Amino acid sequence: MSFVFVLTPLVLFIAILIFLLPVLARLLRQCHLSDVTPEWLESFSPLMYQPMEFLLAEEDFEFLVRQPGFEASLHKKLRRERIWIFRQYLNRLIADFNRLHVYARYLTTQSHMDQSNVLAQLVWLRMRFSFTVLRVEASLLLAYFGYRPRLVSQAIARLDEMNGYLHALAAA
Amino acid sequence: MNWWISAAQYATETLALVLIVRLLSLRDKRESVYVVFALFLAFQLLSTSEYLVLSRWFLNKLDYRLVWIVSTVAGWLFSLSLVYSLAKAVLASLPGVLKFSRILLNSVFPIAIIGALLTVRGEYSITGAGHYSDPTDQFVVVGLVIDRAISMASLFVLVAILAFILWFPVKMPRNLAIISVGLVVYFGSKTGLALLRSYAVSGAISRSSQHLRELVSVGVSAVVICCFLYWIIFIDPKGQTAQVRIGHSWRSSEQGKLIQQLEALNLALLRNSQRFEL
Repeated sequence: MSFVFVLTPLVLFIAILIFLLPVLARLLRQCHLSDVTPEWLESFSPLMYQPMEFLLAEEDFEFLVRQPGFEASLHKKLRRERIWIFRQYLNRLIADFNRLHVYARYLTTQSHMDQSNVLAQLVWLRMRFSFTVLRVEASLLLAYFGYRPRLVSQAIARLDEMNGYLHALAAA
Repeated sequence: MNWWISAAQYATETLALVLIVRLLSLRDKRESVYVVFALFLAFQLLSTSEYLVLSRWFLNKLDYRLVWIVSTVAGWLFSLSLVYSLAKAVLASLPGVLKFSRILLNSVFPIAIIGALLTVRGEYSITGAGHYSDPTDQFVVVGLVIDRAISMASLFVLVAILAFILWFPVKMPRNLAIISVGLVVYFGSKTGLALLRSYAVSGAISRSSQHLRELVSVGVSAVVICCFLYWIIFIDPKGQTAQVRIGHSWRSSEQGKLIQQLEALNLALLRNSQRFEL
């Protein structure tokens, strides 16, 4: 019995670690300032991530079920592919957030006025963004079993907030 | 082994003297960290020869252990002031967020000291000094353990502040970067070797444990000599103004391109803002 008591938390801990490490690696990946190009910044808009909200919408899967000649394998394949695309979007969203954040940090340090309050807000935003991404990733695991990922709009809103801070800093 | 210890001590003292002269010859008086560093080294130098001087006055009636305890307490203050002034100077590389940096430093500093002091009791009990009959011997062991804790706290503060600096894509004076890296190695090795002495060489005094204690002493001296040499070679007057970037390195060939890019980025941001306002 004691063996189970030791093994269960250990397995749980390893499982959490396996889940957390890749996400944390992407979140904490140091972004190079030269990755932020004027062309990218000019064309960037958080709106480009809006399709994420509909990628795993139940309506699409329900529509597929209603089609003649529907096969369960097709349903599974579509869900797998959509999850893969969703993950690509999420990875890009994290990378874009990191790019905007590193540039915002650079701007705060170079300002002639004290931007400590802005930096505190940036640190807080970073923490909220990381927490949201972790929750999105957790809900994405459930998406394999038919659940719709939650909090996608919140992650996009955080990116939008980041973009707003950057514009405010550039204007200051 | 004694020959090695004496040789290491003479080498340390000579190098400390050279380093003090090098630091005091730096012209930039705005950076108080150079003076604090020189004072720290001067104190280290004095503490190695204090017994010789004091024993002449007190005609061999002086207990060296008491002298060591008093000078070690003073040494902690010098170490902590050096780390504080260095961290303050390093954070000055972030002029736009000075208030935030000060709050961070003033929070990290006491947390590191309290956290390190919390480890003292466990280490003290492992050394078995509680069974010593002479209270002065017990005080010496307490001093050794607290000395390790202060090194650990200094290391933690330096690593925390350097990690914070690394988070920003900014440059800092080369000399400060060199002093910081050297001090991380210095306090890191000192902490590691002190822990090794307490945990691996604790207990009854046998011939092999005595041998290990001497090895640890030689190890500490070797690290100190390497750090002093590193500082003597790399700290120079040019390093006060020359800037280096740690972490977010920009390749030198890309430097000019990147500055142009930053100017273009500002323009792009403004254009983007206007587009969204419309």
